[in-house]
Amino acid sequence: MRIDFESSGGLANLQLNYHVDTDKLPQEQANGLLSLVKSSGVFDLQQSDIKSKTTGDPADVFSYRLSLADGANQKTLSFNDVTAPASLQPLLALLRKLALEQKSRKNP
Amino acid sequence: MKPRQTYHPCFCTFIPPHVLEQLSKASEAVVDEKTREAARTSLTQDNQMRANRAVQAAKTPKLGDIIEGVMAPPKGTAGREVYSCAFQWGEPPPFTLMRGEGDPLTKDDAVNAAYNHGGAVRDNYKNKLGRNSIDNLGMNQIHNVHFGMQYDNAFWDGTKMTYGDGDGTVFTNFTKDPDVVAHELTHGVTQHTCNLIYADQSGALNEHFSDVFGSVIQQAIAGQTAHDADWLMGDGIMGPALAGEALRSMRAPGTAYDNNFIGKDPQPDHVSHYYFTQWDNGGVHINSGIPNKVFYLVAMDIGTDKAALIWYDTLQKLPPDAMFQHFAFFLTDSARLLTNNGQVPIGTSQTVRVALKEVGLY
Repeated sequence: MRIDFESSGGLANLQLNYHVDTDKLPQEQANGLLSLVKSSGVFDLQQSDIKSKTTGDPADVFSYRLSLADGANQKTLSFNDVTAPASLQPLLALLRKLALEQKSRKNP
Repeated sequence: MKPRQTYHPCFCTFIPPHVLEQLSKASEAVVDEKTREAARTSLTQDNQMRANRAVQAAKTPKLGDIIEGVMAPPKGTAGREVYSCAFQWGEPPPFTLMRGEGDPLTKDDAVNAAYNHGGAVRDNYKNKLGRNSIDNLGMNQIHNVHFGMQYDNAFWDGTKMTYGDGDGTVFTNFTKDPDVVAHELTHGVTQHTCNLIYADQSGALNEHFSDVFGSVIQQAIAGQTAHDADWLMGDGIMGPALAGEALRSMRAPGTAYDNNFIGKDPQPDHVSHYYFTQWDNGGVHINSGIPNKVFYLVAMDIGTDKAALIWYDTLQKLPPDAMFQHFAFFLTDSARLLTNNGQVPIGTSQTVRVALKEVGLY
């Protein structure tokens, strides 16, 4: 599965990117990611399902763009910490962590 | 120039412990010594983190638990309500109310920190600026702590604050630093005054006012003046990997951090270096460096509390889509009026213009 993840903002303005083909990851890591993709139900979500839940503008939330492609099954969604369904959060947390790890490796 | 930190591979938490164990014990023929050493280090950190988490989890009631004797204050009394998300994501209510207004200390450090810092923010707004809580109508403060697992952030969602515990390496608990709590609460104040749109220049101003009152209240808590303050934002939430760094510097925007974890601070300190980007709602956390420098310069001249009066007055005049030129106009207008009223020293209007000129806004 191809995963393209982008995140920006937050109090610390962390700009994170993680782009990966899970076929090229170690089996253990790929399984972890694929399992969270499945449990998140992301392929069943529509952009129109993701609405603003608050009365005012949220501030300091992370903003995300997530694209997944698994054969003919493709999905691209944009959301933030307030509008993201709770089921997506464990996947987002892992993707943030992987992106942070990758960022630190790129800037030795 | 300060050398960058040497990179040591870190396999924390996303590689299961049993794999780390195998890596650390593998033979030289299979895994080189550098990798085995990194695996041993990660395993130790991982064990420590799991132990800490277990201790924290034991202290924190499960979702929906009701704690005897803990009650939410009546609405509209500017009371504090601190809830635990119990390490869950999203909002599956009810969260557990851990401490209401006037309740005693709990065993949970994050709960106590949110409660104490929230109180300091409320009292400073009340005593120094005459504001009755977030909406000036006594709105209660709602703080949600322990959001998710290792969440590296804190935010204002339009009605309440939410704080993560941090990953323990790059960031620690986000309730720890009073300027973070003041920053988030000030987003609420801004929403209930001029409601600056959270994008581009008005968004950068929104962030700026949160940094300003974060710093003002931090200095008040620490009993500091403009001259002994560090003018750093978020230095208290840096984890061991970033000790000594900060999120922003109001004294010298662009110098708060430079490391291999979160990169280099991109904040400009002059409008000629305005940062255009599609990220971060158009760079709201980046371009806030320009007005932040103005506040620092004015506070160094007339004192932080006097400068805060001007900024608070300005906040109430700006249109929601204010740009930097509106900010400069209303800031000088407020400075002039407050000088005329005797609330700030004679010469403050000129001080403000000099500061604006320093960053290219006059």
